[in-house]
Amino acid sequence: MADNHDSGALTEAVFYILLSLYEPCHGYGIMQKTEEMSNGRVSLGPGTLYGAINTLMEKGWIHPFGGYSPRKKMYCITEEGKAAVKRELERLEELLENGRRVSDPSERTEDTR
Amino acid sequence: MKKVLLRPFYDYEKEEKWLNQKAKEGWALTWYCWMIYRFEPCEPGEYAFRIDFLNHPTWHPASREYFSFLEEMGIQVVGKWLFWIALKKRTADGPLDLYSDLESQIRHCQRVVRWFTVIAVIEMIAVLMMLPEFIFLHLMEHHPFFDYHSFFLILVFLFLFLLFRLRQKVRKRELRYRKEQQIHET
Repeated sequence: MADNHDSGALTEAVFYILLSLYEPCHGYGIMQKTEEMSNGRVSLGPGTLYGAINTLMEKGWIHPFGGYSPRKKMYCITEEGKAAVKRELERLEELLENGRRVSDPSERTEDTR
Repeated sequence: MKKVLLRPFYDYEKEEKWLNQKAKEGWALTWYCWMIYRFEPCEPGEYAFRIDFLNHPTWHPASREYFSFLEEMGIQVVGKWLFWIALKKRTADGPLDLYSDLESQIRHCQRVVRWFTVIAVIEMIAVLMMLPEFIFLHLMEHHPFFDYHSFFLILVFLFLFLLFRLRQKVRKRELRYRKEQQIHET
């Protein structure tokens, strides 16, 4: 499944959904975990969440888990999903490194007089 | 003590505002189909309502999956019509916002714009089919200009105009979101 899009930036919603699914979880649980991890900053809308879950399933990054009740459908991250998270972390580290280096005042040499 | 109201809404945003207004007044929507709305008394401000447009018709299994997903979040589907659904949630459980990022809002706008386009096209085909007979009749002498054909055509054109205006409103919003997307995600 060589798709060039796989090396691109993930959206915040997708990133947090993937993180939430390192342990099997259902839809509402994903919403709660994401809000917790982001200190209430990222609040996933049900419409957005539903669409993202389906897309992630199509990509093979998550898969349905267990099968207790057909109502509370649970999901879990796959190996491909974990690889996508690792790639994203590398990308974020690069951004963080460059961002801090350029914008951190103690690093700027022009204004030091 | 129920209440049934008939309203010819074609603008889903106005419809949503109206449902929430009724909820503030103490009337919660319990069922709807096309232009018929059924209400039941409730605590003023107890519920919030939203109208959503689906990817598949309401009877499609994918839509049914979406409904049970929503139910998990405490969102009840209180009305269905073709691709439109009316959703209800207790205000105590939090705000009822379905789409939290620009991409899903854009996709929603696209679905709605497509719906209006399809309806407009169907209308225009109906008009074209009526046109030959209309022209033929009106070319005949002593035929009154305003007969039921003309009346009907005027209504159809009026409706097409309103539909077009609404489609443009949603399309403009979609373009605004796309522009915003160049900078933000949400």
